[in-house]
Amino acid sequence: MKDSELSDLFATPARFDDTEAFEGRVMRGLQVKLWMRQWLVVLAGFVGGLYALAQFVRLPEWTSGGKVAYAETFHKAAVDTDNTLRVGIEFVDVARQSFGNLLNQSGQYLTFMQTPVFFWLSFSLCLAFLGLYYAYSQEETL
Amino acid sequence: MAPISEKRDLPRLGDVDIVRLCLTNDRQAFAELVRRHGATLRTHLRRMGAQGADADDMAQEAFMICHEHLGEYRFDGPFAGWLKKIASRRYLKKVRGNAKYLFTDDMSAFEPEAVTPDNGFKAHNLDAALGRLRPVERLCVTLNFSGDLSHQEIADELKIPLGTVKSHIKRALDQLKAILSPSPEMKPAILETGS
Repeated sequence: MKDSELSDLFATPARFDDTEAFEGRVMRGLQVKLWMRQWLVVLAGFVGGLYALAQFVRLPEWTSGGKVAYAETFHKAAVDTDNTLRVGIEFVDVARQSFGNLLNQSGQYLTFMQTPVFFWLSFSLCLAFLGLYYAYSQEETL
Repeated sequence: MAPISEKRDLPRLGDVDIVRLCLTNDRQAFAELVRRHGATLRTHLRRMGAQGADADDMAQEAFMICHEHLGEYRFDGPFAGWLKKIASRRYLKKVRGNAKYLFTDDMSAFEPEAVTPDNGFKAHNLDAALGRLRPVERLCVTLNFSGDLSHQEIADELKIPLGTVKSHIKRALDQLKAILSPSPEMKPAILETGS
């Protein structure tokens, strides 16, 4: 037997019954990877946005429950029912206050996010992610 | 952007054209590459010594890495060869991590029964014959013949001396030829007419 004949043997792939299943598996894996990457970006954007919001938007003297704000808003909405823009803005205001109250009530997150501890925590977390990403990309180098 | 009519004829296109389509984020084109080279890659990994499910996992990983780094393909050689190199490095990395015994000198606990011209073992196909080789010989000969790596490249990848690689390949080739060559004592069957 010659080397060239052996080369021919090596060049001949085996037959697999599950070719289509394998193809589906690869494409699904690819889809999941892309999906996870996209959602990681979305999540990072959301966390970053929230942090930026917490840094720049200060809401002093929040009241839990926000009864006064609700009553005032609904009163104005009732008076000016035809002013849709105003009602919309007030609705957003209510939503903002509700969201703020929710955050305030559930552990003073926004207050915490404005502290230096949170900054260093998120900063080191970002650095860790970047480090991991770099290590992973080095590992995948062809 | 490729015209739609071209997409419908994916099986007729060459690898280079399909890779170019993949670079435009054409998922169907990449599926065609998987369809076209899936069996080759799975076979290559099995011949290197990977077990069935492991080989398929690594083939899948290789395709995903390939998709990620498709822009780095220089079109200077067969696409299948580039794909095999990715898969080979993936497998070698795993072997180095999990099976360090592969590259040690004392392989007696892991070696199959030695093949000699005297014991007359014959295999029907290459895969069965490769199963009779020492793992490191099998790895070297497969990387050389199937992975198209030069002796020096294999030595670099496996981090073993060039001379050792050459002797592994020579011994593996001798054994494969002994196993796969038709037996000299096999004579053509004589049909009896019965008259």
